[in-house]
Amino acid sequence: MKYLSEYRDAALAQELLKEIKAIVTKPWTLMEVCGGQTHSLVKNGILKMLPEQITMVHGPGCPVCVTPIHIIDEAIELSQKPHMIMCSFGDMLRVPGTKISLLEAKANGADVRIVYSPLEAVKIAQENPDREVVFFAVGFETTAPANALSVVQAAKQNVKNYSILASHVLVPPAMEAILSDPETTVNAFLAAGHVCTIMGYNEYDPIAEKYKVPIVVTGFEPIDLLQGIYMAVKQLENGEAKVENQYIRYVQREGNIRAQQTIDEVFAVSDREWRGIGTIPKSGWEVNEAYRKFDARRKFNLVEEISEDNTTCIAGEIMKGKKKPFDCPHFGKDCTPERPLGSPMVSSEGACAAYYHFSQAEALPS
Amino acid sequence: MKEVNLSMVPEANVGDYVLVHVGVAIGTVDEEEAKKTFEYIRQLGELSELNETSAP
Repeated sequence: MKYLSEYRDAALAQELLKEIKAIVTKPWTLMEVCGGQTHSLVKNGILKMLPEQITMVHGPGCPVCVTPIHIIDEAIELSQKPHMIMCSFGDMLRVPGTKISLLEAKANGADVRIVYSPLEAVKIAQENPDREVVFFAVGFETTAPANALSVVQAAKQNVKNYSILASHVLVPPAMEAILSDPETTVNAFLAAGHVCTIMGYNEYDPIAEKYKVPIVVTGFEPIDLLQGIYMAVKQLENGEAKVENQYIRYVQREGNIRAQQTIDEVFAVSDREWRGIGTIPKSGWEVNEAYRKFDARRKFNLVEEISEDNTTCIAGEIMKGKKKPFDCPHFGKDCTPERPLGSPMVSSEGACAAYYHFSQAEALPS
Repeated sequence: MKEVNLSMVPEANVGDYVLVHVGVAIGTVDEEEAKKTFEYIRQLGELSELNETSAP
């Protein structure tokens, strides 16, 4: 496939690894923000090939992992209402709530449907005018335009039985939360390429400057990741801390303006709780006043109950880069993708699931 | 066959490659920029060869 296979070229990857080894003189810890990048790094064996001075820690960019348990509980509560069709991306179904998961709610008789796109959920609403349809709208900046577009389409087509349960999170405030933790080990970031396809990368300049960390907007293929690592290490070795863009084929500085306009049309910035991390100010989006009729929380008068997240999962420490999946006593024992104790073991973008599937854990230095 | 919404990529033409996320195209591939990645890596290789030959 064009623009794909070239970025998986083994000889080029070796070339980049050689260059990285040639410039690295000190130990550095780099965090890749996005779970898709974590998945690719582990799947392609890159963690094992990097020089020992470079430690990759895995960031919070996994929507399934950071959705707070009380929002999962809200989705389950909604799914059990009469005449309800609850639509969701597939990987949200297995995430454990306080008592059960959406998948278990489905097994108990709730009409829970997996959709590929929120636009499909709007179609389901049109086809079922006597039912209520809620889309469980989780995600980062990458997913927000599609979720917002579904609301705009529903409003334009006067689809009154469609609403979204929004749990939207934003990358830059999470990066700041990680960097302002006094125990942080992160020296540089690989920023999430597809988030930047939407948002551009102007918002990273103040972060790079304030915390003196290099930030390299990076793609997802092996060549992208190795080039991003090279660029970040080169900056670190030179004592620089600037924002650079590796993912030039998809990311422009100003991002996708049309997508940003759609987001602004429907969403407003709000404080947001991140599972395992806590509440981060102004780190999410909620449905704004103008589109309140499409906000499932308001429509069904959901009372936000902060439920105790008393699992023994160390997700928070993993997503802040303080621990690795195999530091957890449950990893691969009583926590597996089939029976996850915590969310990073659920999604393919979760660090624990990636380590589990590709069984690199034992081969990695701690 | 999947349906893809193109409202976010008004610049896309027939034959273009687009980046699709949850049913919505969010970007088009910039062919010129795509080539630059490989130029960058090639230049890295040449640079280090140059350093190797000039080293004492």
